Amino acid sequence: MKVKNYVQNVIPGGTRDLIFEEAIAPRVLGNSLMELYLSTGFKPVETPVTEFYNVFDHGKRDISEDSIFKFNDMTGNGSGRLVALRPDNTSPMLRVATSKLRDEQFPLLLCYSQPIFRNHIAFHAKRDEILQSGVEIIGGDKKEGDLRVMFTALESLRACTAQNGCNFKLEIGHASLFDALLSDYEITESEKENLRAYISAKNSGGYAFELNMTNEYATRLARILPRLCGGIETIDKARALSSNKKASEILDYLESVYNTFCEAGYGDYLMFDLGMVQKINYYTGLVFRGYISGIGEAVLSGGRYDDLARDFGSEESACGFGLNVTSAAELTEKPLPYVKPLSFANGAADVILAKRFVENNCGGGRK
Amino acid sequence: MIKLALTKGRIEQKAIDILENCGYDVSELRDKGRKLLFNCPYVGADTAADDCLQIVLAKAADVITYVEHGTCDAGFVGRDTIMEMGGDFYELLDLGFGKCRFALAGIKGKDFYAGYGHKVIATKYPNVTAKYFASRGVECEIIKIEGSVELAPILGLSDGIIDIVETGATLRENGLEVYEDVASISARCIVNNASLKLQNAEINTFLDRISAYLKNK
Repeated sequence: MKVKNYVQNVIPGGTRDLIFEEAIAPRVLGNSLMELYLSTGFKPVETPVTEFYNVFDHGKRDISEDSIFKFNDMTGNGSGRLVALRPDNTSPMLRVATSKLRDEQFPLLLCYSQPIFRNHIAFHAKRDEILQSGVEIIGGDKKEGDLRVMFTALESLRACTAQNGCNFKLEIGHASLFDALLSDYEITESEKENLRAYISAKNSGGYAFELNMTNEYATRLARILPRLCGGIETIDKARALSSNKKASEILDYLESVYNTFCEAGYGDYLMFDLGMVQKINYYTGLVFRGYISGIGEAVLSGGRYDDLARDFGSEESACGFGLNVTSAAELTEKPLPYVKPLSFANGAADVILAKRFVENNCGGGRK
Repeated sequence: MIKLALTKGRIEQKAIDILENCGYDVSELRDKGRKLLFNCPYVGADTAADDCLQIVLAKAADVITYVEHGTCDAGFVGRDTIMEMGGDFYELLDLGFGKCRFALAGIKGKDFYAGYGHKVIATKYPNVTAKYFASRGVECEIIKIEGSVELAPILGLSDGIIDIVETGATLRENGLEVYEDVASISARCIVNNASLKLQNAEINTFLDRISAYLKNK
């Protein structure tokens, strides 16, 4: 085929045309995840693709400002306000839960499957639009919520890998462990932030000469915490780091969650990463990330963010996860079977044949 | 099997020595020919068949790209490139060689921070430079230079340079001096986020072998 050089043929960096099996795979996977959520008691919510920017600009923001697509709303009642393309699903879900659904019975079990948009730097082949599927649990007993959300995460990863035989792992950690481990020691805020960044990047190489830590214990944490990643033995290694009461409660909790899922037969899929520390205090409790072999980054991430609802004027606790359906679906793509298009060459006779075909093969057609 | 990306050139040579000392058979790497992929099996008494490194050679920035995307599980690359490129991966080991530093330098005897005017810096590392001055609250204009950065202050194009300094000999010979150190640099082992989780035992074994060797060196 001869291609003419029309500038209109090009799409912006970071976007994709999804063609044939590429278009079907995320829908099929998204539907099977939605089926899992609905059949286990979650209720679907869909929010608009644009929201006022301040929905995402709250105190616990974990998305950098420059990665959000923003523009002015000149359409009417929000005239001139800053509007964003949804960069994340948790904030809109919490906005709905704490406003329109505030009189519903809690805990609220919500689920969604809708695209999110983030602007990535050029030349890294990162997708700016991804289909994200996930759940949010608002209110209710925290332990029960943690078990429910982790169970749903594990089963979602299983659904993603059911057709292709890929491995998956769910790593768990705790957002408050880092603070608890440091709470008995004197350390300045800026030292703590530096340490957090280094541990999060597992930069155990950098600690020695770049951190210039005066505190011997903090230096030890910087060396050990990034490597505390693996099976149940990591919990014991972490226990040896500190006798702090809060820290040992957290480790006990993680161990009990782990054991609960091991007893149910999920042991092979679980591991710990006690070096999961975030720069911003977004998460407040259990945190987890899911990986599937063949995908170079986490496909699922979630945890407990009890303070987030406060930014929307509610005191309810919250936890949930989001799953990158776009990435996971790339592993499930298979060629579409050839379907011969119906013929309409013979006019009225063919229309009757076509009608009969649809009635017999496409869910009965018009009843 | 672990896919390992090595930065071509100096890091490659040192890395081959380290891998050999850790017990890997690096004969394919010593005798490269035109190949792009090299198999380096671990040579031990009862070694598993897949206890093997598959090595690719790449430019420093590409090592980071391959590891970030997970097409390679791990990579050996300089801290200078990591600082300039950024990215999402784990930086797990300081390999202890290729030691040098980023420094701010300029004409000898000049007070870099004197005066009100904004500063002009020439560098091959615009991101490192921007971050450094932003963290110090100093406004500066950055000019990206591809070749010998030392020329820029000599010719009067810039007030200073930010560049890698090893011995400082080039600076001295051209009437320049280091004003201040910006960061220390050495070769690092980086690991893809997902690989560390999905091949945890295998990668830990690999890292333990290297750190054991580095400790006893």
